[in-house]
Amino acid sequence: MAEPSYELVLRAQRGDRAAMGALMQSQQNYVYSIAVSVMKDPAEAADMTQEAFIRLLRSLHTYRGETKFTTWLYRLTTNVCLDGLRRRRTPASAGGRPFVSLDLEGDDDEATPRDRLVDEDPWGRPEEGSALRESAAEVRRALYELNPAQRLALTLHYFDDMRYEDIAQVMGLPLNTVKSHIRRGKERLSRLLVRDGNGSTGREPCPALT
Amino acid sequence: MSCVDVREWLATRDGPRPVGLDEHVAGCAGCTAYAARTAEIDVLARPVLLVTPPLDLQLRLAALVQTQPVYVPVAAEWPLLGVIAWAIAAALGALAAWQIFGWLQSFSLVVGDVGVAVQIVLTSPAVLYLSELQVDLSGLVLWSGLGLVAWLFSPSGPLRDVSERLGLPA
Repeated sequence: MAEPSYELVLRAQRGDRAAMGALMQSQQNYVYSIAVSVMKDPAEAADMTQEAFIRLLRSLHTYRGETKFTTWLYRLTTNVCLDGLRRRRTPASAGGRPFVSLDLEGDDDEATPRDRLVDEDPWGRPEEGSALRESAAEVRRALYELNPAQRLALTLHYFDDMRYEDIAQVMGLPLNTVKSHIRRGKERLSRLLVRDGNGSTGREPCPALT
Repeated sequence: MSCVDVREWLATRDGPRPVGLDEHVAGCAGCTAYAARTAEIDVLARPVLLVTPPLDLQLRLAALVQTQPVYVPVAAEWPLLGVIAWAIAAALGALAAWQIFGWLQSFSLVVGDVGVAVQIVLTSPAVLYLSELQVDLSGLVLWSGLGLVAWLFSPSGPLRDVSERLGLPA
């Protein structure tokens, strides 16, 4: 993630279309990544990306520099995508499709790490040490199994130079909640890539263990 | 360090590497597996989550820059005018206060005594001035209405979409 220079943002704010183009080009990968992460559907993500940039052009003059520009832009993008998800949830379009949680707090039904360690340490099990399924399609499918908050937190976490404070601002969540989403997201991803959604292993069991 | 603290750091990598972490990981099979697995997840998930927009979207975005109207913050371009406006407002405020309270000699601090305060106001030059003031009501309504219509079609007004369609200057 490259934070655009102050001069570039200022020029864009003053109506310089070349500067606006440069600003948008420097950010389109990140904005689209956020949109795909939230929407899960590339076509919808493309629409949300376009909508986010339209809103950017309309409201760029209101940016006052209180936060980093990227934080402001990613927050705007997240809000656009959440609005898109809300529209998707309308009864007319939701038939047959599971409702999506709009709550970026996410599900908090997992045991705390301390609880899990007291009961058992899953990382000592043989299957946790086995190789992961590594194809992009399988990883993508596993990522789509995560809740939206975990997926968005992970996406922002992988943007270079994105601090946890910035991620917390983008998601509108406390810092510790963001860290929790990232840790749980990685742990869940690990379990999903070893085993499929039904709990069976995604690989043939090792003969030595059967 | 406990396994919980070690894994918290391994998953988030937030802050400097804690003292004693490496020793803990070296002696703990669970944390060794956790460290290897989270590193592997990073390698697998990063390229899937960070994606490049398809070419048609990139073209649509490039076209947006040329077609979308641009809103320019006028105040940011004219900081000197803002300072002058504030200076004039402050001068007018001081003048108004002076007129209401009269000469400094007639000004006295009144706390809680409404009767004295009203008396001071009634004897101030402002009352005389206001009683003789001719208000052009029709002109006031006309210019207020004009201002209201201009605001409705301005970039911050509710009818900005109409002004965009009509191609009115921002």
